[in-house]
Amino acid sequence: MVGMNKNKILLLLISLFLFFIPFFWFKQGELDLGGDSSRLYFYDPIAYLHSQPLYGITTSGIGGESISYYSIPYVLLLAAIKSVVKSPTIVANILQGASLSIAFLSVYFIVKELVKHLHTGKNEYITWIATLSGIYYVLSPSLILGWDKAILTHYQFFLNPLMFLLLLKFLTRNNIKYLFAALLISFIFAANFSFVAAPPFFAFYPLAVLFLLLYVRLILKKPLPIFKIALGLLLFILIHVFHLAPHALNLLSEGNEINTAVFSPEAKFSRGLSYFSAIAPSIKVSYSLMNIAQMTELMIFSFIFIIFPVVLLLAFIWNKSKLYLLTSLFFLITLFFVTANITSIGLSFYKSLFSIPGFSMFRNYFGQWIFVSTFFYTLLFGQALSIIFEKIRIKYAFTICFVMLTALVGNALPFINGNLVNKTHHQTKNVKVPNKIDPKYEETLSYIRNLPQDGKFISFPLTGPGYQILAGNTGGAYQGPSTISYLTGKSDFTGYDGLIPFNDTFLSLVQNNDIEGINRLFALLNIKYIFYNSDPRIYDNTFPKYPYDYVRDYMPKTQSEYKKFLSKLPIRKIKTFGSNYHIYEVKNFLPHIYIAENETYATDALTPYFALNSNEPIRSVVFTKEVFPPKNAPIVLEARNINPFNELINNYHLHVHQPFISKRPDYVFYPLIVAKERNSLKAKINTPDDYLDYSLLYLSKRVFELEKYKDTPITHKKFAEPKTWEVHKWKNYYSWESNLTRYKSGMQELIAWIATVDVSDSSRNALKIKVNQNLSQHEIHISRIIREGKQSDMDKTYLNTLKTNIFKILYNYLDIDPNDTSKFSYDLELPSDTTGDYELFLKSQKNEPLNASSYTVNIEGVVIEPLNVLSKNTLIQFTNVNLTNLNPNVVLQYNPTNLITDSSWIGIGTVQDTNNQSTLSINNSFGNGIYSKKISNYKPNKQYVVSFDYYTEEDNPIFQLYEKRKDNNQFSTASYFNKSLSSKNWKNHQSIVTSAPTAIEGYILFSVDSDDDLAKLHIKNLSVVEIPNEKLFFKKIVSPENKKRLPFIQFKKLNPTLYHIKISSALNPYTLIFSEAFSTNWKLYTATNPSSRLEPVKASHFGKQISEGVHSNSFFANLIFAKNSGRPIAQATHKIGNGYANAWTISPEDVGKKENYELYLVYEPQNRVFIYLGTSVLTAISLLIYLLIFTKKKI
Amino acid sequence: MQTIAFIKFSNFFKNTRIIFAKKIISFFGSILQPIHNRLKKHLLTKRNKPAIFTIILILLVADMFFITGNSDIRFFGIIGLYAFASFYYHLLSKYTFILCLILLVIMYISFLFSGASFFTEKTAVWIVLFMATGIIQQWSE
Repeated sequence: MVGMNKNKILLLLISLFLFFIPFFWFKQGELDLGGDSSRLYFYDPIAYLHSQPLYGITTSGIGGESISYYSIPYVLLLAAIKSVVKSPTIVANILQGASLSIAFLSVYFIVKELVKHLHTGKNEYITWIATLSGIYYVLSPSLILGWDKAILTHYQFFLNPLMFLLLLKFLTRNNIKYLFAALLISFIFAANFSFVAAPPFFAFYPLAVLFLLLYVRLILKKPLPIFKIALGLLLFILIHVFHLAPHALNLLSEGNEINTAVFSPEAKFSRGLSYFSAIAPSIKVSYSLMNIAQMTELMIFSFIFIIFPVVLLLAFIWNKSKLYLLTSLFFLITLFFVTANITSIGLSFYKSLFSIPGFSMFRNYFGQWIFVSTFFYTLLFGQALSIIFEKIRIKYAFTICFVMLTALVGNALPFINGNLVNKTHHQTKNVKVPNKIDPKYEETLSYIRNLPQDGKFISFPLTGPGYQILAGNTGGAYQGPSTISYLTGKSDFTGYDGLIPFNDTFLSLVQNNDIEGINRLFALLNIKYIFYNSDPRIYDNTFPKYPYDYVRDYMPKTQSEYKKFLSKLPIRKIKTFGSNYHIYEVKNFLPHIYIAENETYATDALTPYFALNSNEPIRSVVFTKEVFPPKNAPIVLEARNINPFNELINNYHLHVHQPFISKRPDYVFYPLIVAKERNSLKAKINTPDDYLDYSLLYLSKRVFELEKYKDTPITHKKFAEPKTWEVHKWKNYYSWESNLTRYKSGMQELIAWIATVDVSDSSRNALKIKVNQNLSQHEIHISRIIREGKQSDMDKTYLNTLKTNIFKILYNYLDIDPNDTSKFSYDLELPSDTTGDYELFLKSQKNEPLNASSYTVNIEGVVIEPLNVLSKNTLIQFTNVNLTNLNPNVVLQYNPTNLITDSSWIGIGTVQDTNNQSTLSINNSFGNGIYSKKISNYKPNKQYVVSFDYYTEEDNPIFQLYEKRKDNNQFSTASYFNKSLSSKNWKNHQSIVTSAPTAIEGYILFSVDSDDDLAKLHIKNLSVVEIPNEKLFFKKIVSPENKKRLPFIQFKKLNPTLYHIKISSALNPYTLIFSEAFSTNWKLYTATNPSSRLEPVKASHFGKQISEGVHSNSFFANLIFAKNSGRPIAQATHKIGNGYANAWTISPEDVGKKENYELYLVYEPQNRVFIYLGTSVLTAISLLIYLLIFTKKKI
Repeated sequence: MQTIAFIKFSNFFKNTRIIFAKKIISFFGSILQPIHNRLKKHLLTKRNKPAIFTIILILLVADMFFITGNSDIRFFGIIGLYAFASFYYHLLSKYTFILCLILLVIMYISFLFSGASFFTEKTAVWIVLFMATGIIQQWSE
């Protein structure tokens, strides 16, 4: 330190202090490697590189396209550091420490540079101001959060100030070396300039560059180096082409995941705007002004942070500089973007931005803008200090500095000592996040990496969101994506989500103990191995909930149960490491690439095997409706249940809106609210569900307005809606008559719309049921408002009459017919040329035994009976049926059991039962005016229809369905609705309810609404029936074909995107299946230079008809492919097989009528990566050479 | 030829637009000028300056302390009046920032006692609005 002045020594000490902070967070060897996308690159960068970023497909679950080339330079940097320091913990600490100290130094130099131009006064302060600003940035309350989940894009923490500094130097000194340095750094941290980092990139760089350009032009009044800027842009594109080009191509291809994420209305509004609207109310402007962390508990030091906005405002008072004003404008812009809640117009404007394609990336806007906002806050703060320190005495300046430093360091203490990052896992018994990987597990990974066969893994215990849990050596646990997928290159199914589209099927198979089905599903998914971690620390009581959640309801609940479950599967253990890590091999395995022996055409891939328990050999393929079946092909079709009850999922129809009311109808601009409601309904006219929901929401507002504004006047006059220009009549909206009349006309409009809307009859019926339900609820709600209101008795009578008349008109207008509970229509569509004889099956939806005698099927007027009427099975077969019509009329006839006949009335008062008719006298004079009947055999998750005929005398009785529930040994009760029954003549009533998953008992209940009420209810034909929701299947009867001779195949994997296949004895057309997620980018090419030598065989299947060679994983194998490949074949016959896989029908003509030949199966975009990567690497090397020469020359 | 025709056409269009805009301005100017003159003569006099700013401040205080709920009409109405009066009377920006400081103190007191309550948030929004006004004022000074 000899020769350094004290300022430089201070700078060095602070930088070193910041650099070493992360080294004290965890114990030696511990690291948090988990998270959504994990940080396994720290653990083994090279293994990670080979498994993830080098290839454009993912090794998770069924596979699929996934571009992460952007992390290649960064992971190589980690590999270089790890080759020196060895420990992954130290690698991570170095990177985190460097982030902190580089961020500090960058802010220090930026503020120093800016403040220099601000004034010429007390220059001795500048170092102190810049130092304090640097500390402010790195220890600011919002930015010290999130280090526990620091993914690649978190490097924006230091990249933002560093890039700003380099660009500032480039523009102010007109020296291109700074620009080149910035480009080189951006190449190493390319992830922060890639598609995945779009939100932080677009939040920071446009504003930062604009600020710099304005600073140079307006403040410094210097010319802009336009040519160099253009060159910089060009070089930026070239250096990042290796990840930008694949993403850009995906962005432009319609239907691609990225394209959908940017341009689809769902992405813009459902995922974007809805999420934004949900979190916006939690973000506080006051917090942003003080720059304290949002949505966290305040610390005592947080209250000192008021000093920072005070400093900013004081500086405005003394300011003479345009630079300060320019910075403050950018500060205000970022304050708006990070807060959103600045006036209603501001919020609406923010919401309107979501209609811009791609803006939905800012749905978590606070998290995306906080780095930018804090950065500009820091720049403003630095300048503010400089302005103030010029005006005050030195002792005050130091006092202010001291207070600020105390606030910053005090607030950041949990960050410095590691408490903020040393967290425990959510919903666990104090399991720490940092952990050290068990050496035995390292051996396991190494073993898995060297397994010879190209088969996938499934990991147990199965989690919900696809996480793997691994207990560490020091007490913590890893919770993140599969380490098998990310570190061994083998595909792994780790969780329920990873099993999509077969996740529900798998759980149902496990629950039903269907071992054969599980085995079949394993084959379908190319699962060869099972990894089972028997460690009780990752299951049982240590992780009682997350991430196992609902999956545990189906899977074994403890490790000991898991062992029993595995013992039942047709698998054999091949290796155990330590006492916890077991690897099993599946006995009936279907290779990754195979030739199908059987082809079936079905409504969905699972129908033939898992619904109908077909016994086709596992070496089969199922084509779904996208593929046109040939004549006489085996076909299995599912008829779609189209009864209206089927659309009332989860009691959707019982939902009654509870709108938020903020303006009384006499509010001066209330007509604008009316107009807004009208326009919003107009905009939704083409989306029936939305139109219905919004109509009911606005109609509920009319009711809730009456409840909220209890003094609403009664005019006793007919209400006529004022015209827009009749300003003097706008006040008329504030009256009972107005609300009731508007309710009536709104409801009539809605009912009229239902009559004409273009939907199926069953959907129309479902809409009517929903409206009828809302009418009932609104009627009873208005009755209660009147009863509890302050009006005179005379007025109450008047209002009740008005209400009764309106609802009578509306019920009549709706004219809803009771739905037949014994007939259910199904929709069946046969592909053309597929008429003929079919087997007919009824399958239980919930896998419960069905009573065959209760069902018959009516097809085109012909009644089809079950084969065995006395059977009770989950699958009922009917007599065969000849289908001559491509769209036959199918009706399931069901003989329902009335579940209420056996029980008697319970209650106080008098009941008269005569000839299927009861008369209930209900009054509340004894405080218990209720009559109820128990529903027998009431089961959870079932749909019930309650029907009866009634008429009433005196007051109106209330009808409810009451349910008893049991969840985790806790009892609770709930009622689904309150319906006021009112009719002087016999009238039919029907209510539909789906019981709760925890329901144990159900009752129908009649009561009165108030203590004074006395109701007399006459009731007959009372019935409660369970609605069946079973599946109907039609299986075509075809004559068995002569078995064709199938070719022999041998394949070997060259890397995850390239396979070499040898076909021999191919005499006939055949279907080749590749069990990897379907993509048109997978292509088959002929090989121009077939290898004559015999490849060693590592495994063979199906009597050596399919064999596997020696698999490898060479990134450069695609270059060999480029040299040896011929033309693409069978592109027209590439289709989806088994619901997810790639299938090609290859005929001899495709390969020049050869019997023996070789093919390449390639993921084509991977071939272009070499060009992109080469361009980027060459650009980076050129820049590096230029910089080295330039620096040398200068020296 | 086509390019020349296009330039001619666009010049014609541009000139017509300018003439049209000027006519509109002069039309409205002829209506507004007498109103402006009357305002200047009777209401916006130098003598009325303290009264006008007092009224604006009373409106601000009333909105903050006596009216529950947020209204953009009040937010932008009051800030618009303030901005207009400030520019009309050439009020120095430092007074706006002093007002911001006072609001900040009020916000902080509310923050200490009730956290990020409705009142705190409303005051914070006022601070942002006055700060934006102050910045524009200072830029034009």
